[in-house]
Amino acid sequence: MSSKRMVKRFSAAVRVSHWLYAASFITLAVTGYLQFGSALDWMIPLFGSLEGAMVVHRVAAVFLIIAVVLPLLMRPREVSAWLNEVFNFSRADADFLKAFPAKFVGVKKEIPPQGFYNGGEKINSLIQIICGAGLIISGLFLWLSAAPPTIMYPLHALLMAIGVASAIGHIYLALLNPISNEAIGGMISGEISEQYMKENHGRWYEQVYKKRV
Amino acid sequence: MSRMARLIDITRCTACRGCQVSCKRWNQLAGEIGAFTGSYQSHDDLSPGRWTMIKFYEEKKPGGEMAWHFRKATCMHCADAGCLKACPNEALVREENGTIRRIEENCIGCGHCVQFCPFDIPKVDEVAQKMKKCTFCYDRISNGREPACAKTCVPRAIVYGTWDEMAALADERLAQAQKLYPDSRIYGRDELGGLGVIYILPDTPAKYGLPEDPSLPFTLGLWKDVVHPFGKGLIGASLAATGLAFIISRRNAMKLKESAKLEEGGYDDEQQKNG
Repeated sequence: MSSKRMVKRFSAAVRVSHWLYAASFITLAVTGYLQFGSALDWMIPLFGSLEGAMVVHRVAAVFLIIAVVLPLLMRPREVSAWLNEVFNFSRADADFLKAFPAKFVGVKKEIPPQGFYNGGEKINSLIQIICGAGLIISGLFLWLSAAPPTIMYPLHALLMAIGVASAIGHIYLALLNPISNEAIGGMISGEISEQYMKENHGRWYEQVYKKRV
Repeated sequence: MSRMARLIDITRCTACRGCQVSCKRWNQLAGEIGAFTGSYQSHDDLSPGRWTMIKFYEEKKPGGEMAWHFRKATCMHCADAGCLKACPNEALVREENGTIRRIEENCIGCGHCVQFCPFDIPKVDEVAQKMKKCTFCYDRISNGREPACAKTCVPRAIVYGTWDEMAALADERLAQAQKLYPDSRIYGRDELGGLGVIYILPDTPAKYGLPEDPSLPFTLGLWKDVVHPFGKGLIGASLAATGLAFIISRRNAMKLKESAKLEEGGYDDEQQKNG
């Protein structure tokens, strides 16, 4: 096999903000869950006490907000391209979802050519954008208001549950699923192989090479 | 032990504030000098170190005449307690005798109880990070004594006994009160499943800073009874689905590897055997 030709996928600023968001999100999910359920109560000593966990929750919240603001300021064009793609759900994206259950359990299946983001990534993006925005707004109310509107409590819990459930799927697909975990390279080194690009993002491949020709 | 309650007969109360003092004394709460409130009221509100107080309400009647209302404010130890439901860390429990008791080491001072109390009773000590409120003198009443405020009350405006006794006594007191105050009414016997404090009010609850029909916000039920079970189910389902998919995908990957190996001429050990 010849050495793989690599394609640039994500800029450094986007990657840094993704991982900053990921680390804060997981910290927030764990510390927040301590108030939500009791399955993670054994982790309380990590934070000293439940009060300590609540302090960590707020510090992590600041980092999460930074992770949102940073790419908006540094790479507004990349962010708006992402938003344009995500809020533009096409026929091909819907067809991707039909093949998704097979891909989810690691079976390769023909998919219609996908753009820079495939249908599944778009849905995860949508969920994370909506939940993230809602969590930040409701969280700021709960943090800063002396008497927050009481709807903020159930709203914060609901968006957390949806966001975490979706993030679990996202983490699995990126790290553990043998047919899609190559994509993690795009978020670590910023590059993926041209082979993977051709197989999984056919429309993006065409766009890139048509331009060049 | 059956549910205990206090009957607070506002028609007999003289606003002497003896209960305020005896509460401080029994619970060893330091005195606090407050700013002048503009009325006879001693302080603005309850505080982490002030679990009961007489609140004064001035009313200007249409004729220009002044009417003066006052009420002993304290935790009601509700049957349907919003604070207890809102608490994320089981720091509040309902004792057999009806006390909504706070467990010091579980309380983190998050203040969720404050937002869901219809009577604005819990106060958070921001330094100690603990919520503080009336304990119903749990130490006294579980040893067969009456709460400090009831013991000290000179006009017997605060009476302590079982909830059923107090509910019955309320009728008796109401009959007496109505001779002097025709608009008298019982408050707290039917509200929120029956409060641990039953008031005899000389007039409408609004004049005493009490909600006419206290209820818990629907967001509390939405939060604890709908969102929490749904969220736990959703996260659990997501974990189960990815866990299962992980196992299946690994097996599929192994199968592919196996067939690839066989195409290449068998497993390592077979190849060694053959050549």
